[in-house]
Amino acid sequence: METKEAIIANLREEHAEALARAESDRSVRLPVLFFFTNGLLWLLGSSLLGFVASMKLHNPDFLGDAAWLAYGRIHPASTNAFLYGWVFQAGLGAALWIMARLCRARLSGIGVLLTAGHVWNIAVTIGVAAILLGEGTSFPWLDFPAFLWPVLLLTYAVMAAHLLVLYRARRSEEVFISQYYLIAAALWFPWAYLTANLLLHVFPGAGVMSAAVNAWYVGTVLLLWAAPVGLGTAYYLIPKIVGKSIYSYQLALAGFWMLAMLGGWTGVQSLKGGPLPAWIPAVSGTATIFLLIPMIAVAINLHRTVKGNHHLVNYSPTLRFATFGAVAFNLLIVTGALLSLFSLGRVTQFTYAESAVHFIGLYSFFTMTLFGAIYFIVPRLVQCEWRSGGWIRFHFWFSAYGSTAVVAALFLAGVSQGIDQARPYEGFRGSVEVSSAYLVGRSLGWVFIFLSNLMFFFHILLMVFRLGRRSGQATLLHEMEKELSAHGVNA
Amino acid sequence: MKPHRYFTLGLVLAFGFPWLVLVVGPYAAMRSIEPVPYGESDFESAFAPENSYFPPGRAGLVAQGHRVYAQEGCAYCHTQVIRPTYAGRDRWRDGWTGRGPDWSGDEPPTEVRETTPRDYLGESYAFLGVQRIGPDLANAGWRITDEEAMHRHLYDPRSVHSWSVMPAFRHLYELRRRDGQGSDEALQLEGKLAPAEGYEVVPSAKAKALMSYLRSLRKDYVLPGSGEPGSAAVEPATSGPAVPAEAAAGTAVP
Repeated sequence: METKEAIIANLREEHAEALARAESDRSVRLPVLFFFTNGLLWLLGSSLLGFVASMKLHNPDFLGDAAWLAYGRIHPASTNAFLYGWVFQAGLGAALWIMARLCRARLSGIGVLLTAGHVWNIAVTIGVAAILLGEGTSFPWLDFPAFLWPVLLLTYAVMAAHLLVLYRARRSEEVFISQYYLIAAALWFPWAYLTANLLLHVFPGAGVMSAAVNAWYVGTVLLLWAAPVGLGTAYYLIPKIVGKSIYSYQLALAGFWMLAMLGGWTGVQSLKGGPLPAWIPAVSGTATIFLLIPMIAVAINLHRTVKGNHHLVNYSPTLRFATFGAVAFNLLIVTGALLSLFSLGRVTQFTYAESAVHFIGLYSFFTMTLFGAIYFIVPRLVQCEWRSGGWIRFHFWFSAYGSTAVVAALFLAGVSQGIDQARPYEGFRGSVEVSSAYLVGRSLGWVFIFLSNLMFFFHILLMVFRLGRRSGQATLLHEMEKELSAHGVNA
Repeated sequence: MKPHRYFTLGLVLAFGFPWLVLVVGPYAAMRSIEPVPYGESDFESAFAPENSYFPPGRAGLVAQGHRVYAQEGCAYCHTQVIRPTYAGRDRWRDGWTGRGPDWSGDEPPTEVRETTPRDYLGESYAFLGVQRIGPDLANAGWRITDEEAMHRHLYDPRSVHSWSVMPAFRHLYELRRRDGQGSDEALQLEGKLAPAEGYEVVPSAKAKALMSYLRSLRKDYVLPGSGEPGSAAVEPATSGPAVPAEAAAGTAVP
């Protein structure tokens, strides 16, 4: 039997907890909203650029022959705007909030952080404009002109340092798996970015190794930044929504360390058969295949955590997006492993299939998971709820359909292109024509993505201006009571 | 040690090991490779430096063309890799290695091989490429037999191949008033592409640099010390084919 005093003490503790949560939320409110809204603006811009780039490949005279709209410029502009504009900002925003929550810590002095955020956005704007104006470097994912990398590195360091400050100020003894992932990502990225830029810009002249370092950087961003931030977010959101703790903490740790040890080896498999010492792409490919093991660890863990509560995806937008992202993570690793095989790789190498894998990683997995995080976080920052479940459903289905269409079209286009290019003594015409129809499908996918993001941007703007619903009840995808009673269940 | 120290150490080791072994080590090693002289014992070759080093030095506009190639994002659609047989069929693609049954261009002097690290020596960045939306350019130098035709191709790809999806690089060309007889470099444009009477379209400095770079692309030099005929001698460009032309062209393929 609990005594009256014990109950009161318990209530006091809960109250203190809630206050601490509210305080840590409030302390990161501005920077988190700043990163989310700016990131979404970049997402919108890069979707538009991505659509134009996609159109150019089956309809090359689309929008005329303006220099800045040529595929060779608009494609890297879209990729870099997406990566540095959206992926990094959204990831940092979510990481800050989750870190503050899990550490029960407050962030003081957000001025430096916001300044860094502004400088970052200005630098990305200059970089994207420079690519369009023909000053890009054509180093994949590092296309910005050389003078920008120190600025980006410095501002990133400032932003990531705030994560570490929060971590050091943590009030709970416990360290959660999400914190492992977020801290690791925060530390690995500047290391990789500094290495790639130093080698390519300051110590150039290594011929083929420069391309290899570039390919390694791409792999590192995908698996040691996007993957840990996405997984760290999923590991926070999914148990939270389901209301259970993670199925196995040991398994989560094992998965984390496996990814940590393998991720840094990946990327160069995209150059297999290239003029490199053969062991380099071979080791990279092997590491990519071994990533199946941490993938299984993560998959079992998340699946077991949700087990029995799968029906919640019908109601919680966060869980629905995060589940989509978690499933796409498996697809990322499986397709990455398949394309690393020499048998399949000889067909898919240098085709659209390889960009399909990147798209799965950065969009189907990372972006969708982060959408889930934004649906969870923003109402807690602005004290109002999302305007409409219907709008969220629109956002989900258009994103899901659009991204899946892009991925499917890229794989089909890639495989058909690869098969055609493996025919001896044939001209090039066939490989262009055989992939063309799929590329039309990809452009359609981009239209869906753009529309869904337009809707989402509008929705989040309403939230930022506190025009959401004033309610204590979270906005659900479907009204829970109605649904349940329709199924003959008493709510 | 406190637990978070182990954690930090783990993060550093997990990333630092591949960083050192896969990236920094090979990068430093590749950067220190020097051009190799052919036939050191050969008296004559020692005094003919322009012919006797592998890879041969690149001169003139090539480096500027490399920059234009980057600015225009050519590397997003074109690779510069001939994969060995185990990894792909690049060596049997029409024109990619400069040969083929229907090949009408110049014949490379030796059997064209897969690309090797030394082929890219001295390039600030090797544009190996990411995708083959367009054909491979490792040996594009052999395919460009007529610069004017290639300029027309860049100016309006669809006028050469109706199915091409390459951008039209109009901005690399200048429309200007014809002076007297007109320039030797003017593009022979016909139909609706033809400029108005009294005008001509000529390649800009950027277009000329790009052309210089594209013409420099060839990966057919005999590797020093490879044991192939000519590998110990000078003047790789004029040494005989390693195998009979017919067999190398692969006409035996059904």
